[in-house]
Amino acid sequence: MRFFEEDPARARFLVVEVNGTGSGAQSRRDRTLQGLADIVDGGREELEKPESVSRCTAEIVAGAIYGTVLGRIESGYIERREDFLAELVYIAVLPYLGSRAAEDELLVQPLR
Amino acid sequence: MVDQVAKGTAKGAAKRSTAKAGEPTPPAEASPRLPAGRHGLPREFITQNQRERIITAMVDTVAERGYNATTVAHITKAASVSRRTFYEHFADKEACFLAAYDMVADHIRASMRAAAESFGDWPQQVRAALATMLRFLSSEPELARLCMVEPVAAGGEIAARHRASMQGFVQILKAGRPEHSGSRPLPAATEETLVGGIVSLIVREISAGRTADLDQLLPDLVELILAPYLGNEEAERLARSDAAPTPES
Repeated sequence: MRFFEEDPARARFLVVEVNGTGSGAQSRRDRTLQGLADIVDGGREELEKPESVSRCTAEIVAGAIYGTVLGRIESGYIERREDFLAELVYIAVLPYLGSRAAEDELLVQPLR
Repeated sequence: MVDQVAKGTAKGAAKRSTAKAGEPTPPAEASPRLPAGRHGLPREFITQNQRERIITAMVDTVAERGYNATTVAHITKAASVSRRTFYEHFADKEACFLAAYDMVADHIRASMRAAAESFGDWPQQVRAALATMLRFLSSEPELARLCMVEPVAAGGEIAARHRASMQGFVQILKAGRPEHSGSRPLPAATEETLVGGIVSLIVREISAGRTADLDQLLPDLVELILAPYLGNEEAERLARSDAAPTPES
């Protein structure tokens, strides 16, 4: 998020414009999303029963994060430097650590 | 008309040839090419027929080539209409795509609303609406690509229309806010984030050629969607419940 804030034009190119490009660029975007899903999926290791949450959950969360970032960039949030990191962390933490821990993330101060 | 377009697509043709006893019987091919020369058909009928053929051609061509690589020439050839006829109906390729998109999106939205209204309690409304959408998309691959994948790639006005269309599901989710029992209010963008996750996963599954299996995502999607409102345990219980919910009479 800090990188996006520092360079909104590049953020728009990497997150928004890539969707209108060829399959090569979109494959790279998908690989990035898979990497994000891998990180999120690590949340299963925090659980007593890791198998109780599926890999699919991590992929939905990664998609939710990407979709939110995409929408916010298109809406000019990045240029206005409006922070929404806490909301992204909330959705990433929720399936693994529960509502209370996720809500705690909403209280974390912005990066700046 | 969405049914007619679906029947006019390659998938629709396949479905007609494999229809089983007891299933709804699709009518004959939608909007066939009109006979050449003088045929005495009313002008209104001809115009409607042409429009449906153009939209059907748009769906098929976009499914084959993608929106960005599709040209008006591809569409007119597939629809067996002249360029002049195309421009009598649509200002440009984008307008034609939006007409097709609106038709499919309106159909999905109305189906989801009707499914949701069959239930009194919110969690089952969410499940029913989502199940309806996934069932439609998995049974209509060309229309699934048209309304879920291509708008993201097309960008501009089409992508904006797609985002606005997704607001329908956002509203269904927002109705669940009174169910939230957490110590702090839900983040303002919870619903947009959840819908973004659903859309992103569906797009990836379609792009990977797994459109027919979309309805198998239902339990995972329902669980994640309900979790912010009901808590993880209750969300999991409802999502993994084997018994299909029964609509209220």
